[in-house]
Amino acid sequence: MPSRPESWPVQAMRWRIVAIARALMGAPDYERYLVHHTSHHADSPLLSRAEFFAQRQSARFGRGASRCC
Amino acid sequence: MQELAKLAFSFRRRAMHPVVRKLIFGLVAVVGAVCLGVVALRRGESINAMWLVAASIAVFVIAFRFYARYVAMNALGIDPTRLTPAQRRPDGLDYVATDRHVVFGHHFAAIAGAGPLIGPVLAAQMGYLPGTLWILAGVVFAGAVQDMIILFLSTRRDGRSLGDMIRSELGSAAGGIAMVGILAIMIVLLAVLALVVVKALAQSPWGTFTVAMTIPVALLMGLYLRYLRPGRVGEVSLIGLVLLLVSVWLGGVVAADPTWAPLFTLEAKTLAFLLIGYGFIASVLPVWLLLAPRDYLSTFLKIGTVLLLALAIFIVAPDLKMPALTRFTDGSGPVWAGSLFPFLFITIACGAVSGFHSLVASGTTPKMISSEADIRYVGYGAMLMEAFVAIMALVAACVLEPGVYFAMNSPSALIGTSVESAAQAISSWGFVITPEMLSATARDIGETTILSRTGGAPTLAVGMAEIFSRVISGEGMLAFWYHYAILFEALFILTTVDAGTRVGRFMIQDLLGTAYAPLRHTESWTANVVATGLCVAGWGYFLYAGVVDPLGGINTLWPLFGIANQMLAAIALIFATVCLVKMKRERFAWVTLVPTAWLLVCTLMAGSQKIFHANPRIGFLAHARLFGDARAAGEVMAPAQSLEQMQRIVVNDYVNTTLAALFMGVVLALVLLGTRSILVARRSAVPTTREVGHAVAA
Repeated sequence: MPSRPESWPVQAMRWRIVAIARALMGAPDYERYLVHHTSHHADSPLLSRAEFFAQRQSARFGRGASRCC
Repeated sequence: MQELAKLAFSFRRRAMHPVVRKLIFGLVAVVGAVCLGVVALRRGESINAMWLVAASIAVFVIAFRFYARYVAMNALGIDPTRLTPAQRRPDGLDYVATDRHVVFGHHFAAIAGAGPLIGPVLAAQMGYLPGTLWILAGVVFAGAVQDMIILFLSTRRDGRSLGDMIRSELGSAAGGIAMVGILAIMIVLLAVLALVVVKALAQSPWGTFTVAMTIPVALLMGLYLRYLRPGRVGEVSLIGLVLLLVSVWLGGVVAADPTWAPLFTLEAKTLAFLLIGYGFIASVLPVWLLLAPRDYLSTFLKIGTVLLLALAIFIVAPDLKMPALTRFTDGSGPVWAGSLFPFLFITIACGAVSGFHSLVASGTTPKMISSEADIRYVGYGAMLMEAFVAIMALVAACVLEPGVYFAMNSPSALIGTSVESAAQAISSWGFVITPEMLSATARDIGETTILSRTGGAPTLAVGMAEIFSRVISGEGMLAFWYHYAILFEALFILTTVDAGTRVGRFMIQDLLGTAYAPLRHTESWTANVVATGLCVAGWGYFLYAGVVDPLGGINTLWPLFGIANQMLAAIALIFATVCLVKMKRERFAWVTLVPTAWLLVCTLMAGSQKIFHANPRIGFLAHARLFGDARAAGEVMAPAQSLEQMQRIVVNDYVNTTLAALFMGVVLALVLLGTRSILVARRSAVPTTREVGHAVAA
């Protein structure tokens, strides 16, 4: 995993491009989940990458994705 | 992390002096006006596509800066201090406050589909001007407004779906009617998109092989993501892309091979049944195996190709060979029948205004919005991007020699089945073309024929191949790019087909569940198979009817789809109007009322003409009468080969009539129920809207 963006504009830019690319693809963002989990629910169990991915995928496609024409 | 990223980037955005800003927008306005003037007024010699592209960009910039801002600030009363669902109830999964560029990417990927690529191609039969003007005016005043307002309303309601919101603001009757309408639209959408794929692949071993290969590639990706490297979507998509490019190349080898080529040379009917079977299997399999990896792959290819096309248009700056206006504005066109008004406005649905977006804008996007201030950028901005895609599709179609365009898009009933008859018919319409040119084009793209390849996708593919091959040219490059473009379109249409079938299945389970509760159990295999079967049978029926239609099927199904999609937009805008009045912002209600009225006029006119028009090419009833009378007299008319088939054609006409009537009924019911809600809301002295979060905003 790349280091946190802290004071590095280049790193921050890279993170952002990766995040946009993931959003465009609809790929789940495990790193973002990690950050959220540590700051909000540190006491509850953490999903592994595989668990998180499986959970996200079935949430997104389980009922079929409302794709546009 | 987001905060840090924002912090690190706060050095950009220096405040611009107001005079400088005014000067810049003034300049954009002048450039836009000049370009639009050239596009609209230049006659005679061909014009360069860059005029059209520049005019569009200028219009988008001005609309985004001024009109969208007016609607967001004044009509909606966007409140950047108000907490969004992602801030009030973050769960790290669905509800996540997300950087606005990331939300934009997510939203654009979800709304962009095959629609904006096909509609403009079909509309090009009237020339490039009517389509361009409608895309620009439609997106600015209707499409983007709808997307933004629905996104706003859903953001204020915890990201609830359109159907849900209609139920709570307009009552359960309106909610139920809207649900039925949405299901019917879904079925027609799936049928017409499947038909586009069938038309593109029929008798094309190269295309069929390449598209068939996407299935094993997707399965491989699914297994990789599940067992080898979970969650590595980016890397697996790259692998998938390489495999796809290899299969495009391999397709050429297969098509040239005397033993393999016949295996992949399929009749339209065979392809239709294969597709129906595929749709059924793909939507009942576990999503991780086929549906999800396919979606990643198609999104990857879609975004990449759209960017590539934009880049190529800027580099090549091709001339448009299609005239600004053709003689077919009178409604006698071979591609689809019906006069400019109202049919142009339903032929280009996506790209100008698409009701389907209201389902996306009330889905996952509102749960990611981190501030109401982002709603204009995400909702309005992403739709402008989609309109730009539509403009590029129009450019790709108009770059073609008009004779080639009409040869590809006219049904064989009008141009015959030989290059000689086609060239003669098309030249007699005033678009000079020789048989040699038609054969040469087919040879160049690696196909046996280009005649009557209706449905828009092959035309777009030839146009794209033409543009791409001027950037990367060489021996056989035109054929490669053509099949790449076919693959690109077929891939995301098939993704829509399997995902849409699944959506339809759950809608049917919901509806049937109200009558017989066990059918609602989504875990039950019986309920699953029954509902999926019904959904597939629904679109499969229209697909099959379209495949055997002598006029190509697109002629019937595309207008029905356009009417359905615009009806859904009208429903969404009626709902938006009700909400504005309920918020006590009725002085701004014209923002949604004007596009609603326009859509109602267009779709009700088009709907009733499709039913009642005296010309059998337009009116379903006239067509039914023609075939019914002939059958009564014991005659058999093409394409029917028996009296029984004659009967089936008549039945199809009545089914289509019923469907068109259903759409009109749904939208009229919503007009009545909406008007009632508006009258009730007007009597109240205080806002009556049902927002979540803050107390009702004044």
